[in-house]
Amino acid sequence: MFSELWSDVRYRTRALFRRRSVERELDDELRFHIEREAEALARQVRYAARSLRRQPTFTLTVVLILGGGIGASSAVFTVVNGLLLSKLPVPHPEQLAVVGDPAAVHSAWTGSPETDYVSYPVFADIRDQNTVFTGVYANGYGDDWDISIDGTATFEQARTRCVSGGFFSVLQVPAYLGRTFTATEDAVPGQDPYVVISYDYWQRRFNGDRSVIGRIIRVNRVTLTIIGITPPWFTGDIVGESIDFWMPMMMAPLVRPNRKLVDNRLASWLVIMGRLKPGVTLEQARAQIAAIEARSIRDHISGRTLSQFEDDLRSTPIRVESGAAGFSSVRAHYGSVIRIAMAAVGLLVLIVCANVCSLMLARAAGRAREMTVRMALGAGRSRLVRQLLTESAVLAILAGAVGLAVAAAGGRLLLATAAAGHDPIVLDTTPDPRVFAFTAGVTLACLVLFGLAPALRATRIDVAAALRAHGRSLFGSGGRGRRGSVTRSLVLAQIALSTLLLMGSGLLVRSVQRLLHVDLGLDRDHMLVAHVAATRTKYAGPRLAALRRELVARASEVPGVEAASYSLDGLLSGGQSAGHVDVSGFVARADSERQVYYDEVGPGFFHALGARIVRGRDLEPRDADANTYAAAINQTMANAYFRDRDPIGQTVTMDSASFTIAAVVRDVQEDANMRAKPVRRLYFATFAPSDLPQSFELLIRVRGQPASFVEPVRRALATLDPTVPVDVEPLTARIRGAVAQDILITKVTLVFGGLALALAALGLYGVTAYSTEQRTAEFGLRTALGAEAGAIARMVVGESTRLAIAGVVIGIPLGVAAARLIQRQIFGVGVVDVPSLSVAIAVLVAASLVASYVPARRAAGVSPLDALRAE
Amino acid sequence: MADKHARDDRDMDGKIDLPQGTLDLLILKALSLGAMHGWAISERLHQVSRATLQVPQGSLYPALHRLERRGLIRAHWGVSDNNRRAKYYDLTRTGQKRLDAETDAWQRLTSAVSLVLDMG
Repeated sequence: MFSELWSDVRYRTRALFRRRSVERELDDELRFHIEREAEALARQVRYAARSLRRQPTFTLTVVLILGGGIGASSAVFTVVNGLLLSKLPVPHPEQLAVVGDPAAVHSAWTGSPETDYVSYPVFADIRDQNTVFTGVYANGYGDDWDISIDGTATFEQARTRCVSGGFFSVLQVPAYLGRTFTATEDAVPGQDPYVVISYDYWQRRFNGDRSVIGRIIRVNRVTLTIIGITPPWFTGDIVGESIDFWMPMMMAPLVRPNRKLVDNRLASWLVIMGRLKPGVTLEQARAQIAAIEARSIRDHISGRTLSQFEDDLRSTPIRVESGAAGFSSVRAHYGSVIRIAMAAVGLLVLIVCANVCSLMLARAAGRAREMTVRMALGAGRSRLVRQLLTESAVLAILAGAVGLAVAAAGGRLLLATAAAGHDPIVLDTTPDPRVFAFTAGVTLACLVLFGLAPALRATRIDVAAALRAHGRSLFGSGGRGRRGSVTRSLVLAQIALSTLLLMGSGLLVRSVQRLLHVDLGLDRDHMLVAHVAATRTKYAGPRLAALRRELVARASEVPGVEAASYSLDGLLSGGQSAGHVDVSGFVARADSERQVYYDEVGPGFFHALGARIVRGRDLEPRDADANTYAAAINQTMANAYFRDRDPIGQTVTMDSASFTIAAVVRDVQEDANMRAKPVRRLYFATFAPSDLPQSFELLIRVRGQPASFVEPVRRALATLDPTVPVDVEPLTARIRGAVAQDILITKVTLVFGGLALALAALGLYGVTAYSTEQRTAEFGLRTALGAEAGAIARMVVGESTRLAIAGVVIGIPLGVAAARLIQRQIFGVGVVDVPSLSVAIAVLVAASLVASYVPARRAAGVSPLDALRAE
Repeated sequence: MADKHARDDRDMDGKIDLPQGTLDLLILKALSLGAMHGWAISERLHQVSRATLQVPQGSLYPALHRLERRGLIRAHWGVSDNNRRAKYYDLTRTGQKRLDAETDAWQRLTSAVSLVLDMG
C-alpha cells in the first residue's frame, strides 16, 4: 500500500514538470490504438470484398438491382428536392415572404380585385405603406412578344417577366456585368427603357459577347437597352422556369398599350415578394399587408365590384407565406405527379429489397458449410454476423454509388419526360447534400432490410448437428418447411406489391383514356382550332371585324372543311371570360349566382362546332350587327335561371347591354381542365368592335382527319395577310396537352409497375428454381415410381402459380386501398374497376407461368439416377 | 480443452459493464502473460472471453494510467509488429503481488455469491 502511494506521488510529480511530453505521449498512444482499430476494420472490409469477388454474378446482380432501386428513388427525390424543397439561390432566402399565391405567376384577371395576385396600384400602396419589409417588389408575366435584337427585321421569342424596380435589390442579386435596376428607376411609365438579361440567355443568344451591354432589344417595337447581366446561378425567382430577361414594370404600358396594366386597380396580374425586417414574423406581416391591401381596394372601389371582392376575401383571405422556395406554377401543377411518383418508387424499393433479401438468404444458405466450419474452428457468432454485415455494407455502398450516379441522370430524364412538348422545366438536378443524405438513408434502410436478417439466420446454427446432416438440405430456403417460408413470404410480398402497382397503373391508364375521350359537347374528332394573335398586329375596330370575317371565309373555302366560325376565347385555350348578369324573372340570392362565363362568337358558331342546339336557332350574320343583340345560353344556365320557363325571348343583361336569348345549346366543355364541372355559359355575337387589337380563335370543322388539314388551312389563312401570326392545331392536340400531366403520371407508374413485375417474376423464378433443385431426390423418386414428366411439370407450375395467386389475393385489397388514396387523379372509373383489375391479374398469372416454366421442365426431366447422384 | 461449440441462445452479445476494480484485475492478468500495448490488451481480453468482453478505449487507457501511477505496471516505448511506435506495459513485482491477492479475493467472493444464489 505504501509503495503504491509513493509511486503515485512520484508519477504525479513527474507529470507536473514534464506536462507537455506526458500529453504528447498520451496522444501518440491513443493514436496508435485508433490506427489499429481502423486497420482491423479495413481488414474486414477487404475480406468481405474478396468473398464478394469470388461470386461475381451474385455481386453484380445485387448491386445492379439495388443500385437501380436506390437510383430510381434518388432520381425522384432529386426532382422533389429541386421542385418542392430547395430554396432560391439568393442570400438569406429565409427572410423572403410571398404575398398571395406563389403559384399565381401566370394568372391575370381583369374584373373584381383578386386576393391571390394584385394590380399595380394595390402593389404601390403595399410598397409605400408597409413597415414590415426592408424591400418589396412585384413580378408580372411577360407575353409572347415579338422581340427583335439590334433592330433586325426578324422576330423571335424569349421568356420574359415585368418586374418592379426593387426586384434585384430585394433578392440581393448583384450584376455579373453592367448593372441591375435601381429602386428609383421604374417610377414613371416609359422613363427607364432598360432590360437586364440572364447569364444563360447571354450565352445562348449573344454567345457571351461582352459588348452586349448597350445593345438594343425591341419588344413590340419599343426600344429597350441592355444594361446588365445576372450571375450564372440566378435564373429568376420562379422555380422550374428560366427567364431570359427582365423588363421594368413601367415599360409594360408601352409594350402592351391596349391593357391598362399599371393604372387600373382592377387589372390583377402581379405577384409580390418582400424581404422581412429582422424580428418581424410572417404572422405580423400578414396582418399588416392584408389590412393595407383591403384598405387599398375599399378606398377606391364600390358597388358590385367591391361586394365581389369582399366575397372573395372571405373565401380566400390574403396570404403571406415564406418565399424561401420562390414562386412556382410548375410546383403546383406537378405536385400530385411528384407525390404519386414517390409512392410508386417507394413500393419499388420495397420490392427491390425483398428481392435482394431472398438472394442474400439463398447465398447464405449456400455458404452454410463454410459458416459451420468456421464456427467449429472457434469463430464467435458475433464475428461471423459482423462479417456478413460487412459484406452487406460493401454491397449497399457500391449500390448506393451506382444509385447516386443514376439519380442525376434519372432526374433529368424525369424532367424531360414531364416537360415534353411544353417549355422545359429548369431545375438544378446535380445531387446536393440533401439528395446525398437521402440516398445514404435509403441505402442504410435497404442494408438493414436485406442484410441483417440473412446474417442472423445464417449464423444461428447448431454446429454439431449441421456437420452431421447434409449441408444443403438443412437450409432449404426454397423447399417446404419453416425455413422455406421466409423466402416464400418475401416472394408473396413482392407479388402483392406488384399487384398494387399494376392495379394503380391500370386505373390511371383507364382514367387517361376516359379523359382523352370525354364528351365535350361538340364534334371533337373533326375540329381544328387556329389561334390568331392579332394583338401583335395593328388590326383594330372595323378592320379587326373584317379580318375575322375574311379569315373564316378563307378557311371555309378549303376543300373538306364543313364549317368555320370564330370566338374570342376559343376552346381549351386556357383563357376564359366571366362576368355578372341579370336575368329577367330570376332573383339572385348572392353575387356568385349571377356569375356566368361568356364568349363573343361569330355567326354559325354552334354549327361549326357541331354542338347540339336544343331550342331556338344558331347565331347568324345579322346578329353580328348591333341591332339584334341575340345571345345563346347553355343547358346549365337554362336550368339555373329558367327551370320550367322557356328561355327563348327572355332578356339577359351584362354591363348595361341587354341580350335576347335566341337559343339554348347542350353544354360545350371549353375549360382546359378536363375535370371541370359544367358551368353557366353565355354566347353572343360580337356586339361592339374593339378599339384595340384583340386575339381570337377560329373553329374549323372538317371532314376526315383534322391533322391532314393543318397545312392547307394555314396556307389558306396566310393568303389573306401573311404577317398575321396564326397557329393551327387539331383540337385533339389541345386535349392531349390538357391531359399531359395525367399521361405523365400514368407513364411513370407504368414504368415502375413493369419493373416491379419483372422483379417479382424473377423472385418467383428464383424460389421455384431453388425449390426444384432441393427436391431433385423427390422428383427422381416420383419418376422412378412411374410419374409422367407432364404431371411433375404441372405440379411445379401449379405450386408456383398458387404462390402467385396468393400474392395477388393479398395485393388486391391493398390495391383498392391505394386507389382510394389517388382518387382525385382517377376520372371516369370507379376505385374497383373490373377491366383494369382483370388485366392486372392476367398479367401477373402469365408472368408466374413464364417464371415457373423453366424450372418445371427441369423438374420433369430429372432422371432417378441424377437424383441419387445429387445426394 | 473444453468443448468449443458455439451455440449461443442469446441474439447478440450483451454489453457487460465491468466495475473498475475488476477491469484492473483483468489488465494485470493479461499483462502477467507478457508485455503488451493497450490495443493488444483489449484484443486479448476480447478473444479469451469468447467475445463477451469489449473494453472501450475510454475505460482502458484511464485504467492503464491509473495502474501505472500506482506502480503496479510500468511502461516503455517500443516498436510494434507493424513498425509503429507503441507504448508497451508490463507487470512490476508489486503488480504481480497485487494480482495474486486480487485473484484470490475474487475467487472467494464469487464462490460465496454462488453459494448464496444456489440457496433458493
